[in-house]
Amino acid sequence: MTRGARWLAAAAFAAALTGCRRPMTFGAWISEWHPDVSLLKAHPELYDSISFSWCHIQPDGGLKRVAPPNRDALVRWAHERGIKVYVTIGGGPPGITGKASERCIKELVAVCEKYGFDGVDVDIEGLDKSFRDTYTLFIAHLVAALKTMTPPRRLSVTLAEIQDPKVEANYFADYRVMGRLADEVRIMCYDVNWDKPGPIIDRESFAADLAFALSRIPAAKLVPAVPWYGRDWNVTDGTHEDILWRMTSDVDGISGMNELVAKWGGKPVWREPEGELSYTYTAAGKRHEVWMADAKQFARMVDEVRKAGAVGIYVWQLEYADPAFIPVVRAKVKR
Amino acid sequence: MKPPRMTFGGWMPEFKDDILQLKRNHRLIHSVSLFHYMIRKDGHVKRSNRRESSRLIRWARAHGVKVYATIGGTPPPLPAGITGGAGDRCIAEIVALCTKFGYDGFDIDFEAMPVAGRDPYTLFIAKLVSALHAMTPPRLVSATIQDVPSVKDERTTAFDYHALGRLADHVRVMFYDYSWKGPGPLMPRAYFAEELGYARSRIPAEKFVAALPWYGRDWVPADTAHHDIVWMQREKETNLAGMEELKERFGVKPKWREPEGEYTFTYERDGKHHEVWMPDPRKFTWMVRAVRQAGASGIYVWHLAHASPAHWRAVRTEVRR
Repeated sequence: MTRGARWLAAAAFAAALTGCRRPMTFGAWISEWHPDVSLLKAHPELYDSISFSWCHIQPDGGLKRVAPPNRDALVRWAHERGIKVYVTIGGGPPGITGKASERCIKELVAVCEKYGFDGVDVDIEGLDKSFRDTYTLFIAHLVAALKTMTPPRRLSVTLAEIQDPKVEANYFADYRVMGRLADEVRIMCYDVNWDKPGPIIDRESFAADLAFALSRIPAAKLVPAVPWYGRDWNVTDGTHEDILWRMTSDVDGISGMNELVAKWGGKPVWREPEGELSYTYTAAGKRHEVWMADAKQFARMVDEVRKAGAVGIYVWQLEYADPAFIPVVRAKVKR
Repeated sequence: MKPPRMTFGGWMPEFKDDILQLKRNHRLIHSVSLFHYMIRKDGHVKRSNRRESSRLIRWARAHGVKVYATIGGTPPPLPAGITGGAGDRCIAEIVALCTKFGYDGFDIDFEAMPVAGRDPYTLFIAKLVSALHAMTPPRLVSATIQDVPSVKDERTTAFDYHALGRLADHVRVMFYDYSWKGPGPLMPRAYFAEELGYARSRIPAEKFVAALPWYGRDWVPADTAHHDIVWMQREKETNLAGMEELKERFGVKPKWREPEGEYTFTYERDGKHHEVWMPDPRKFTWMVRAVRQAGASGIYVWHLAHASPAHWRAVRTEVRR
């Protein structure tokens, strides 16, 4: 038995002891790009939290708002229904270094005060190991600032999926340290394939992601983030676009999965051992290969997250998601 | 409902009487911290004159007592010794010592650091936790930190209470040394309550360990000198007379003082006036009760050597009940 498999077995046993039927928390990110929040508005009872892509950190530490104006009303709407709202921040150095970091934290506190956000979700991506100390200190300072607010605000950190200790040693965030500092650690279990066509997250990678995360992050803080999106690779050109189920080319300039199938015919195929839907089509003489997370894959991932004993699950992203995801949330996440 | 049992532990800086105290009272002790090491400016972990004893460590662990090693330090080696490459060296040496001697954890007792040491210290603890938790079995990290009554005071120190409360496995807050330059209580009631409340507002209960004094201080106000004394010390053995010996030799009768909640007495020796403030088991008792009420998970004492039997009775009845 591998070390990872031992962890999963131990976590599964612990979960069995503590009661497999406990409800997990459920939350979704809402990006700044798309207006659709219909699956939130129709089923507010299913969501413990939502996270808005709200602002980006500028080089001087100042925050630049990216959320559209209509999100302000959505924050109030969510609060009225008991849904916690996180402000998600992106960006990176030098905005989290030295004096800029102080300004950034001050502005985040002010944003939390102004809009009544329940917490901050730090989604800084793409840094290398040389920023490890900078990032750790930024998170340490931020948690101290958020905990002194009235009421104290929560801190979530969103990190890339990792399966290998050597990779983590060269990553800008120390999983163990983040598991201590943050209230919640969201591991983005997706984007396993980027340059070349392949599943968003295959079975094996997902199991390895969970095992590695659990070996470093307490289950009570671990929130695996899983995909509600897909990726369309133009194999001929070597480019790719992320797609959502119900996107349409007339509104978003990109066809979603439903529109692609309607337009180009054929049928998505369930692929094993990947455990994900795949679809190919040819448009304007260019061959495309699509991999798409669907409700069946989501159901399996929820089962694995539950077995692992993680406290909750997050999805990227809410907009234009397939309504078929919702019964899975109801039956498997919130049961 | 019966209040939860707190843990009890003590530092062992002397390796003589404190070993005797450990052996006599091990059933009451959850952990000990062997004060073996000091940090140097280059991050090297320097052992004190006293050699590590694998036998002692094995004995303690066999009797259910967890063994921490304590590393101490003050400026000027700090904060340089925990910064950058020096900090990495220090952590690597700590990991090696844990492997070699089987310590259950390391206690970091860096004191009097300037506020400039705040970020290096937070980072050092973060990295140390990561390194020690990666060991098999994972080792514990305890951060021993200075007491403060308010956020304003905390910001003048190297200790980020919130961050340390999250990073470390245990945070020992040293509730003593209120009076230093001139005679006075080691920890008066009101100040203790303030500091206890502040620490508890920042450090999770399950990680919060209140470090209390099992020592007193003997001042000679005329020449601003002072030295620390402990209860059962004998001058012929340690060159310092302890509380019991002072009482016997100088016929003094300690007076309980309020609102400080501490014993004090004066005596004359070699033409010099001495003023002593001495936390005793009665004081320890009220402090433990306050700590329990604040919801901390344990008590630590500086230090185990030369404690009186009455101290141990108080541990039995108040801490480990």
